[in-house]
Amino acid sequence: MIKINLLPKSIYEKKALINTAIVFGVLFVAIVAGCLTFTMMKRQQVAALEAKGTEAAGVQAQIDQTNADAEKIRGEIGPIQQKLKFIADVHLYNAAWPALCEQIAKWTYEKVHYTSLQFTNGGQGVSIQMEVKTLDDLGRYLINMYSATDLFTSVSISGLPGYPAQAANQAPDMGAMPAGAMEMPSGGGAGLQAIEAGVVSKPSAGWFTVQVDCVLKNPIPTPAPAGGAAGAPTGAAPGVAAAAPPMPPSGAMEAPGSMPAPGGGRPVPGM
Amino acid sequence: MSFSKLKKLHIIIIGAFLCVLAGGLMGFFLIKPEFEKYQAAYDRLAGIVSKVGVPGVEVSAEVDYASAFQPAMDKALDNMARANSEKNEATALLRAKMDYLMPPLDFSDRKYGMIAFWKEQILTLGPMMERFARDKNVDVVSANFQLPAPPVNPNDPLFEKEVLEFPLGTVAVQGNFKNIMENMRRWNTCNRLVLLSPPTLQGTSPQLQAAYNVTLYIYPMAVAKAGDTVPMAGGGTAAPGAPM
Repeated sequence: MIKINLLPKSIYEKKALINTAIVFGVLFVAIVAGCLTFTMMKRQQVAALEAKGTEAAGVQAQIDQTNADAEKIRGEIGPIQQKLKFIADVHLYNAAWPALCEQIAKWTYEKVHYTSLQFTNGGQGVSIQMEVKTLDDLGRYLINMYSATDLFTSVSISGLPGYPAQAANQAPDMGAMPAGAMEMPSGGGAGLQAIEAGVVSKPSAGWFTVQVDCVLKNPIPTPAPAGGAAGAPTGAAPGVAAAAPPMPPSGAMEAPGSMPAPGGGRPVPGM
Repeated sequence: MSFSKLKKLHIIIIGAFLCVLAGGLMGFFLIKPEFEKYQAAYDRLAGIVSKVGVPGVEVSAEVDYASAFQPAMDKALDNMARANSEKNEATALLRAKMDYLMPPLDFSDRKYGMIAFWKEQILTLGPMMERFARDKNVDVVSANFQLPAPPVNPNDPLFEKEVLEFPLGTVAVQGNFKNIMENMRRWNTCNRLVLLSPPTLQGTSPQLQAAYNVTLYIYPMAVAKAGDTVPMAGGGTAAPGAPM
């Protein structure tokens, strides 16, 4: 039996077109639906991550706030510590001068008599006026002071008398002395002991006066309160007076103004 | 337009084009922004984790960051506790010093503070310092302290200062070297904070003379605020010799 299809091909083409259109339509919808679904999933992930970020940020803010509060508290300690430091510095400063005087006394040869000691140049130096009987004593004293390298950076002397004042004070062994022959005070307290024991103050005739100026190796800084101090309502300048205080007139001792000034060629009293 | 002329190839081309267009547009306008938001959220969270600095904490939506950051929180709380302890210690030490060395002057209320300051400066300070200057181990040659008249106007800027300074005068003592040195050290036990100047020594022990200046410092317990004045306070009249 022969099958003859008398239907036109256009009928089948139409069906194929429709099927193709349906396929692509489904594909289109699938693509759109897939994209939308993926977008929704991603949004959920983003929301979850953002929520975690907010939670973590909150905890971090608490930690930062706690640390900031701690630093703020430490900042409040600053002024307190400044006051405590100033109080401690004042007490140390007050105790430093007697200690320094004692150190100077320890290095002092016991056969010299100090007549005046004052701190100069704002406490950076010390000026000593003294009476010495012989040049040997002065030499020993000076060499001792040169050894006090932990106390001074510089020691200078002035007021050595010249001739004929020097001749009157010459000891029989005047001249260059062998180094080994000189007694070197150890600086371990000989001068201090002499001072503490109370050396009789009145030197005999034949003594001469010299001045020694020393520069302190470690000047004592004057403490100052933080922020400066308000002066008392006197009109007086604020701040500690760095100059040496004047000695009040005393019946027992000479006032500074009348002390003999060291100088070359001054005749020694009694000569 | 006649659709009868459409072939299968046309449908395929048009369909493919529409699918690609839809995918592209949705990818660009919907999916890409979500990726960007995700990356931004991830970077933000990673930055926070890095800043907090607790080791081993991951960047993930599954992590409980309140627990994960607990070590850092504990460290911050410990820091706070130490800061409080340091402050309490410093405050206690300062209070002890202030109780011993400072008069109880409170200038936060200018009127009452000024009156208390009058009593301190006129009635208390001078006699107290002169009594203290009397040292039985040395002969006190002179210790005549002078204090100026205090301000009579509560609005005086003096009451706003953190620390007050009073140059009291010169002390001259006579004695042996050791006692004079101890006399100077003794000022550190005074019930007021005093600063001594470098001494001048003269003479020879045991009739050694020493002189030094004494300066007094006072820290008020509280100071007045700069703009907080007493409106009714007039200019007042200062004592002779004292500036306004």
